[in-house]
Amino acid sequence: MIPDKGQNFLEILVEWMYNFVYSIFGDDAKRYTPFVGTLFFYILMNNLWGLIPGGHSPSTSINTTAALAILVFLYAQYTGIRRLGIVGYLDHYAGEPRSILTWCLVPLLFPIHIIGELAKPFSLAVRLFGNVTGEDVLVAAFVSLGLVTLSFIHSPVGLPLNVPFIFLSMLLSTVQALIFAVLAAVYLFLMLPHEEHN
Amino acid sequence: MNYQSMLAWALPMAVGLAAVGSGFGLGRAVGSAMEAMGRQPEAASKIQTGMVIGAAFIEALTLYALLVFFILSGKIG
Repeated sequence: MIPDKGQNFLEILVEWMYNFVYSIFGDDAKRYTPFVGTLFFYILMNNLWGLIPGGHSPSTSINTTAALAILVFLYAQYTGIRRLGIVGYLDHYAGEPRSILTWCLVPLLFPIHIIGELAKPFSLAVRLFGNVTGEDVLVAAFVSLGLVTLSFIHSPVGLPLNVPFIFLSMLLSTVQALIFAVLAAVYLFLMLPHEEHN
Repeated sequence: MNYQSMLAWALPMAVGLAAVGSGFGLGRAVGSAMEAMGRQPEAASKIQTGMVIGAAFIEALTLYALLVFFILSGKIG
């Protein structure tokens, strides 16, 4: 039962993802690792696909990124309702009123909390979309600059001025995929019952 | 003065101003991270992870301005 190279490599990836999610969740990590891990690797492949010649990143469309953000939002709400119960879920949104003063603040805190909760998937979607489209436009601008540089000899190819930006694109795509996964994990974690308040 | 010339003036200005703000914010964030790494080199990798995540948050605000640019750039001419 010695694992071969392929299985070993996959085990490295899964274990890295599990340790990463463990640092955010603690002992609940086993339940949420598949979701966060799938998000990370899926978005990573989406982002990097555009750098292959003839490939196009799906993340350059706001529809894809909005779909992923809505998925994270719905899963977070479902987790909240399932783990906290309906009463605990509403209590969480009302800011957990315990005394008379906090009960009076509930009509103020409730809309603020709802707006904050809606802003999270919006920012997730726009962050991923803007970053990946921006990198694409950057590489395209430098390709056309390279073509313009050699246009005086009517050459069909241009100078490869976009090569450093391909590397920048690879780095930023990975970072953005990681950011999306980390934020999804953090939003899920915030919905779980947090015991210690002192 | 029609709206197209106003848009053509305002849109690059908006992206530039957003870049200035993001430059200030990122400079402070990365500066503090560097200082913290200098004080405690053993925690350097944790600090670096936190710095990258914080930088992505700050960058996202600049990208909202870029998004407005993309949406409105079709209306120029």
